[in-house]
Amino acid sequence: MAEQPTRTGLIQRHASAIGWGLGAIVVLGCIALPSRHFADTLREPELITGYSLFGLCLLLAALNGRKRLSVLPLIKTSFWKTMHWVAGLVAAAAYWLHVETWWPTGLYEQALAALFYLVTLTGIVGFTWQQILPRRLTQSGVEVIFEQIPNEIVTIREQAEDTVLACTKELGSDTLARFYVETFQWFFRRPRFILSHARGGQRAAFWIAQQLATVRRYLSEKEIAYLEQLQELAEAKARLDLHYAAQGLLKVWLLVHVPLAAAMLVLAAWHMLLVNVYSL
Amino acid sequence: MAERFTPSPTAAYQRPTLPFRCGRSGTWERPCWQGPDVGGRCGGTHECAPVRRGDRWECRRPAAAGGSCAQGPLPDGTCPHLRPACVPLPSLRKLRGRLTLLVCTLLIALLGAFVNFGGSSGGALAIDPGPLSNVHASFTSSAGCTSCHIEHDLDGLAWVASAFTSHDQPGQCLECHAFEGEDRAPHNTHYTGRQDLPDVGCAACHTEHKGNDFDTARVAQAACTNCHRADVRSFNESHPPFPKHFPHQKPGRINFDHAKHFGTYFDPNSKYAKQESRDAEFAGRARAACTACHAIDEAQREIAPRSFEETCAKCHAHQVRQRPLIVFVPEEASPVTAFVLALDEDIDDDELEEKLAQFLRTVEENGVDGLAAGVLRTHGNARPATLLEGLSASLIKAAAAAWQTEDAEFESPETNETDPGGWHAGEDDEGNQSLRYIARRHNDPVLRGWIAFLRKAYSDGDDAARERAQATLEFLLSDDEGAGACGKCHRAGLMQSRERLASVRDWRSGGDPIRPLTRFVHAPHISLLGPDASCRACHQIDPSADYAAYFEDPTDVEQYQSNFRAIDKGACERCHAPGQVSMACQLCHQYHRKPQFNPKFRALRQAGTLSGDEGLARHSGKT
Repeated sequence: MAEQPTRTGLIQRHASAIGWGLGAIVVLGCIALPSRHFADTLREPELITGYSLFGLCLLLAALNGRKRLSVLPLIKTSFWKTMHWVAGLVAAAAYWLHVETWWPTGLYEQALAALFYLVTLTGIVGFTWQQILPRRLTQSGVEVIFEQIPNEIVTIREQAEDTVLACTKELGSDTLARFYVETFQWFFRRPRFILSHARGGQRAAFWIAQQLATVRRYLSEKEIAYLEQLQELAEAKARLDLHYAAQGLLKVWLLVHVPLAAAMLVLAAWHMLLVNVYSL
Repeated sequence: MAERFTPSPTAAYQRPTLPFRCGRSGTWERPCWQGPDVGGRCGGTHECAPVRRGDRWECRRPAAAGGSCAQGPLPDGTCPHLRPACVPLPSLRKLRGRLTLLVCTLLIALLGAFVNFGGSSGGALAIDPGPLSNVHASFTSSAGCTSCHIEHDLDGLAWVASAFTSHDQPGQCLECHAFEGEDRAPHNTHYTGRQDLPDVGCAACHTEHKGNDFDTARVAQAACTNCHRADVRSFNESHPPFPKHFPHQKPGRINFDHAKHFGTYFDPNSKYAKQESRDAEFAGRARAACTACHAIDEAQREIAPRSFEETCAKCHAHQVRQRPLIVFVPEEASPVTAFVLALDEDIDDDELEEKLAQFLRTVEENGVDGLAAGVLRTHGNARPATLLEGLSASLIKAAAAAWQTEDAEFESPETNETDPGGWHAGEDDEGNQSLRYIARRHNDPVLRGWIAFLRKAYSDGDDAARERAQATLEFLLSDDEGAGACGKCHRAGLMQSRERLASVRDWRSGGDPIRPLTRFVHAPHISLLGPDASCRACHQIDPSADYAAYFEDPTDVEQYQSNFRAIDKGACERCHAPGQVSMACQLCHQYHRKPQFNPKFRALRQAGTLSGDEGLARHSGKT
């Protein structure tokens, strides 16, 4: 019978999450309490919340800088990533403290709000993918560098073509060759079933099994041995496709998140300048 | 545990940080082992870059790409295996950088395109944080942002530099808005007991640029509880009880005893009912309805009484003419004469006689001018024309001449029976010789002039002058003898405020502002309860109060007792309760003291030559 986890064990297991949660609460308190004090003394609490929010945004942007300075010993990247997520949540709360409305009235402020929402949304999407996709990649049983995938696909394709040619040459039958040209050539050409892989679907596996089952009945025993080699290559290719889809998502969302975040920082700096010119 | 995918032997090491990748990988062909250079040019047009060793060229194709070729380099050192150049593709990282740069550049270009520096009006989409409220939008339609933000008038770099200097934004608001009291102090009030309170900027409570329909004056309830920490959840549950004697803690300026009037003077069975001067019909009306005296159609927080002629005059008009202002009495130092001639209280008889004789000689020679010169000599700030208005030069000359004779008697000329008011000299009804003035009406300018003259002398003069002015004022405003019977009603208000310059307000009903931040509008209450019943629903006469005590000695405000009972919270709670009428703080409490427009701003607006925004621009020192 499995041993029930003790309370101390649970705390130890989640110590990091609890620590980050407490840290977030402290930071938020450090923004909310002085801002409340400013409000109580009829000064502008937006000064506190605004500058804090801008500082948080800069801290969030620092993750990108940290990645570029990978040679420097600037704390572990995993720490930076966790901090990025937590600071993002705190920034969302600080945004609400600062703006106190869902949708401002001025055009540039609306643009700023829209950018903040989009950056937050893409951040949440990216965070979610980062929780799901690496697990799925691990479950695939292989590791491959994303940039290496085109080369590996070419290699598998060449091996598949070699297998088909060897079959034709050795057995004098073109059944497998025609099958390859009509079906698998399309499959080995480039990554396929991207959306299915991204969703965690099994369309590729079904498709391979279906094609193989269709042709199997027309093949001799010797041809079937070649078909099984082809099957192994197709399954390896499907795993590469899964990596291409999942790793692609983990990289492509940044194409939206980072430019939007940069634009938001520019507009936030503009907003700060305007406030200082016109109001303070 | 996941197995590392076995890389093919021809695979080149691909770093995610490299800015470009082989163009062949984009078409899912095998990428060359060299890959593009950092500038994005194809690096794989030859299979290798041979190296010269001694007099031979050696192939440098790595083992992963097939190792040294059998053919070897050409004699000139070039690789014999040529490939068409590819078009390298940017890596995802490079693409991200490009996209970021593009978006930021586009954004900055848009900001630049839609910002207007240098005071141009309107169209500054990149600056405008939202539409102005209607009330401000109309003032700023042509001058634009500069109407309220003078920084908008600056050019480029100066505009940016202004971000690093502080601005007096509330000062911009106060160009147009004004308040009674200190503009920037909390509640426009200097609280002597709370020196720690900082000035408050307008933006602490008011926001703008929230849309045309936004009410900038409306402030959230929370703005009150920021400072007022009393745990007031709702009016009926936790609002503190009203103060003792609320709202009658302080006396008004007019001595009017409601209890005595209702209980005695208006009573048709009282002994006063037989007095000829009493208007019985009016007394009956006044006894039945407060509206006989109070003009509820103009009701605001206070309900001012109707005019003297419509109310008090019905019974008291004759008293105004019964009591003359005695200016001069032969051979005596009347209070007014003593003041005009600056006579000391302990002056001996000979000196007094000499001074009076000298005064009469001057007046005999110069008439009214002589008298006026006497006043001017001792009190240069007076306006003798008002004080002596209507005084005949021949009358005063003749009287002065007669009073210098041995019997000191002047026979007054025939008086106009229909209008006994004005200046008189000679014997009065009691057989005494005097120069006197009889008020022609209530609010008589000559009597008001003398009282104002004495008040000014009191506030401006030295100790001796103040003492004489005080004594003369007491004489003029005495309940029994005071000229024109002014003091009967106005004594307290005028004596109380004698330290300051004379003001029309000192003669009027009402009192100094009590609870200036408390708001109450009578009109809706009256319309709900009915014009007569509504008054007594809240204002109940207290016959036991000693109302007269304060008016006998108006220096001690503490002893004032209103002849109305205090209004308690329960009176309001009958309607202002959950599910009934609003209980919001700001329904009864206002932050500002008498919000109004700045008079200078209003003057520019009223000049007619300026539109609102032009006036504002000029007022801000802009052209």
